[in-house]
Amino acid sequence: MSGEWSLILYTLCIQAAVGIFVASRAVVAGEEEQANRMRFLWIVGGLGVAGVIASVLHLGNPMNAFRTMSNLATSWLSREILFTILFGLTGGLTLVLELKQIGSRSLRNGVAAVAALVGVGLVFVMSMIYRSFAFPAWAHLSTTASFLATTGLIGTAAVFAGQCMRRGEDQPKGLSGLVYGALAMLALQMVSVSSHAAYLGGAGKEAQMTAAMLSGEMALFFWARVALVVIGSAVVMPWVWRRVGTQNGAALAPVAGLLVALVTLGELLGRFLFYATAVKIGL
Amino acid sequence: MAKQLGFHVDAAFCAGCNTCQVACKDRSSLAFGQRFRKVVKYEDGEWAKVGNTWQQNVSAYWLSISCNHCADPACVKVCPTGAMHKREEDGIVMVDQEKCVGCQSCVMACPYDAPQFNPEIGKVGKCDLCADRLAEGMRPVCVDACPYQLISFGEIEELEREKGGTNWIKGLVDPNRTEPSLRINPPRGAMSSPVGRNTK
Repeated sequence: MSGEWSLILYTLCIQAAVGIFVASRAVVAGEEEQANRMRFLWIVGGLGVAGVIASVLHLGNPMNAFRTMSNLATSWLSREILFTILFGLTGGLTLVLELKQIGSRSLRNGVAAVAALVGVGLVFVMSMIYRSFAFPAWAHLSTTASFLATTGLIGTAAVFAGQCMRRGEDQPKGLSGLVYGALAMLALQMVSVSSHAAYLGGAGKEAQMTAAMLSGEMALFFWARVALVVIGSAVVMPWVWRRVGTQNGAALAPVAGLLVALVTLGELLGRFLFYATAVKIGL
Repeated sequence: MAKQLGFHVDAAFCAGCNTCQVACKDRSSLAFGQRFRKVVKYEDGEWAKVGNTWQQNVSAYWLSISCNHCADPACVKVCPTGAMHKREEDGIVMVDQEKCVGCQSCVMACPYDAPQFNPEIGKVGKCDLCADRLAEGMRPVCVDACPYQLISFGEIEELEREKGGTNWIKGLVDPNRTEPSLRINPPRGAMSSPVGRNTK
């Protein structure tokens, strides 16, 4: 597991960055004020940079990093590097356009939509790296579904909390969409977890070893992950949403912060389990 | 591709002495934990109730295995830099360490654990079928070292014609995945037991 922490941080940081970017651009798409439209973009940038630093730490010889797009034809890792760069460029362009107030609102929304699509593409490509026959526990559609759900869960939770914590605005915008989005992502994650569990039983002895770990020595982590994400997205988030109409949003800041902590910790546990329970085929 | 070199291993008579592994390790000056060729023990079986009695169907065998220079190598497909490549003239799968970024994608992808990450240099190394020795007309060092002469190398179709063998015994991955250039004379029990478990 020791070498996987950089990959855990990389995948989570990039997925959080994509999720926050997509959720925040959807929420601010109708805004005109620069201060409103700039919201969350620096956080996305910071998470993206942190993710890239974590990924470089995983490399044994980073000096050759410039060669990593040499095999786009068959290597999902090469494609991941390409999509990471494209997301950085389109996301960076979104930031510059908003910062300098360049172009119409429609143009800036259009650029943000392209960046969002590239970001979702990046998460898909990232998941395909792991869907290798050498690790039966990963070689399943649930890997892709789970990565996308993690992206959505962290994105909606963080943007929801950010909107609630905002001072000087009695009625934060976009909360209902974020709540429904989070519930949809939670449903996707739960379908992913249950379909993965069903798949493991019939996918050979290595997959069954993974299932044995998840239901044995790692069971506490497995159920803690499920509980944290469910409590965060399906209990705390709707609870805060219902009270935002009657209370000042700032008063709910600690609870909104708790929501982000619960969901992020849950997904961190999920990603830890993803790496810790994978069993390779062969002798 | 002009030809495809590979190995034939007569595992039916392998005693697990590890001489091939040590010779390979010595020749390549590998650090602790690094093995371009490894001798692994496979064990399976259990007690099964037959009528009113319990009978065991336990079997075990040794297998010497290295890179199988697959016809469709998973390591080459996943390598992002092109460092891992397949030599046109003889099908040897080699790694160009000048290009290796040390991402370990090949280590994860290979179902035979052939690529070995060396943390001291931050790059991957692997069996190259002793290409330098082949160029001088010698045999791979593991072939020379086996005291029972159970490891053979050569053009894989020729090896199969001469010695027969299979590329799928218990514990190994479905050969249709990567088409390994490996033929094994299977040890007793390696093909028949209904219960599989390895020593992982």
